Formats: sequence, structure tokens, C-alpha cells
Amino acid sequence: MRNNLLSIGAMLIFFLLAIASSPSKMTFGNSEKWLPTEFSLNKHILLIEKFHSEKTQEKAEQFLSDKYPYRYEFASYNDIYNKSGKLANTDLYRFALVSFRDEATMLIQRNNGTQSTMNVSGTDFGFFDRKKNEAYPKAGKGSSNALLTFKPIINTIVKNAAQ
Amino acid sequence: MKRWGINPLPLNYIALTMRLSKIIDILLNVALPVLTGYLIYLFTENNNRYEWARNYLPDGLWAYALLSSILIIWNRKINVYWCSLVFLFAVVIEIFQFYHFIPGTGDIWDIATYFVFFIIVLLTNKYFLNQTIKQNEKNEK
Repeated sequence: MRNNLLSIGAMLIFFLLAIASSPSKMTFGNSEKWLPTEFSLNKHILLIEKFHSEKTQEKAEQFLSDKYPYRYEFASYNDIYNKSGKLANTDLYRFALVSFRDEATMLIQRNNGTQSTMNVSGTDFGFFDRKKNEAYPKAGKGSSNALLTFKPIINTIVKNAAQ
Repeated sequence: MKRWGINPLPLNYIALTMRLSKIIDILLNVALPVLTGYLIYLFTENNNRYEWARNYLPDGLWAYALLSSILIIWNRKINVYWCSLVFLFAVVIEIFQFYHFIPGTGDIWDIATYFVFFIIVLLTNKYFLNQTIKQNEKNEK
């Protein structure tokens, strides 16, 4: 009996580990706040703002080719907001996933009474409706490593599409 | 030597050494693989060269730790019911992920990785079982 209970407990722990472990598999539960209800994976081509780092860009492209079986294109910040050339068709290229750099200042209070500040920054993502010129709220899950936020966002989009 | 025969080891000493060998087993075969998997993921996040290692090795080590923990609970004796349940559990997790019942992305290669590591655990189990038996015999002497 004791061993059976321990076995159930072990499996429960490993189950929680499995669903909480990797951002490659993680999804965000607050999609109703940031994912546009009008966004259609079949109707629209998702524009994704290019990453600043070449390495991160490569990783993001690899991740998308593995996990995102829908239409998407990377575009620069200017191309997303200027709506010119090929991307002028705001019916097809209506939604863009753009990045935001969040910065905050932490106040550190030491035991000896002295204080110091430390700047911390993170990258978050949010949707921009190019047709209505409307920005949706950010996902609110910014991270110092952009991919740690980007991957769950893509997974969440895929998950919502499947539902 | 004979002295030990006349005055056997106290029971609490035997229990302590048995517990110690179990703790070592847990640290080596459960905690270490989980920690290694976590570190692999952490340190290969921005490295394309280790893409395979980052995608599959942590999953494999997770599977290794899971089956090891079940075997340790059952004193390294293969409990067919629980071992089968672990195999099934791994498949069900991936199916649930595939259909988005739980977070994640279901992948057939994840299942293959789990099975490879489960087999490694079963193959090495005999060694750890012998170690446990040796420890028990040592305590009985």
C-alpha cells in the first residue's frame, strides 16, 4: 500500500515536471488578454518583427519551422508600421507580433542602511492590428531572453488554433 | 570477524545503512538526471550546435529519473504493473500534449526518446539490484 502511494506520488511529481519544464512546450494561460479574437491562421499571414540578434533570429526561425505549421513572415519594425510595398495589403497582413523592451529599476536596500539601484530589462511581445492601427496588450510575460517568451507565445497561438 | 557473529550489528545500524544506500540511489538515478536535464536545457538555450541535445536529452533524462524512482520505491524489483504504467504514462502525456489537453507539443520522437531511456533503466537495474542485495547481505553478516 505504502509503495503504491509513493509510486502515485512520484508519477504526479514527474507529471508536473513534464508540463512545467520547457518553454519549447510551454503555453501561456492569459491568451484572452493579448491574442486578437479576429486573428485567423488560415485567413491572415502573421507578421513577426525581426529579432535584433542574428542568433536569436535563427533560433526563432528554426522553432517556427518545427512548431508553427501556418503562414508567417518576418518583417522589420519599419515595414510593419509603414504598410508599404508587399505588406501594404492589411487584409492579408493584418496582424503583427511585435516586441517590446521593458525596463525597470530595482531598489536594493542593504542591512547597513545603504541603498543602490539596478536596472533590469526584458523582452515582451504583443499583437498589432495593422488595419485598425490598434495595439493589443502585451503578453505580460517578458523575459531577459526573448525566446523564453516568444516560444510559449507561438505555442499558445497554435494551441488556440487547435481548439 | 567472529565477534560480529556473536554480537550482530544493531538493527538501527542496518536500517541506517540500507537507508543510506537508497538515498545514494535516489541522488544518482533520480535527482542527478533531473538536474542534468535542467542544466542541459539552461546552457544550450542559445546554442544551435546542441539543438538535438536540448530537445531530447532532458526528456530522456526525465524518463530515466521517472522509471528509476518507481524501481527504487519497489526496492529495485521490477514491478510489471507499475513499469507498464510508466510506459503508458509517457505515451499518454505526449498524446495529451498533441491534442492540447495539457501544455506542450506532442512529438513521436519524444516517445521514442522516453522508450530508449526506459530500456537503459531496465538494463542497468540489474546492476543496482545487485548492489542492494550485496548491501543487504553485508548487513546480515
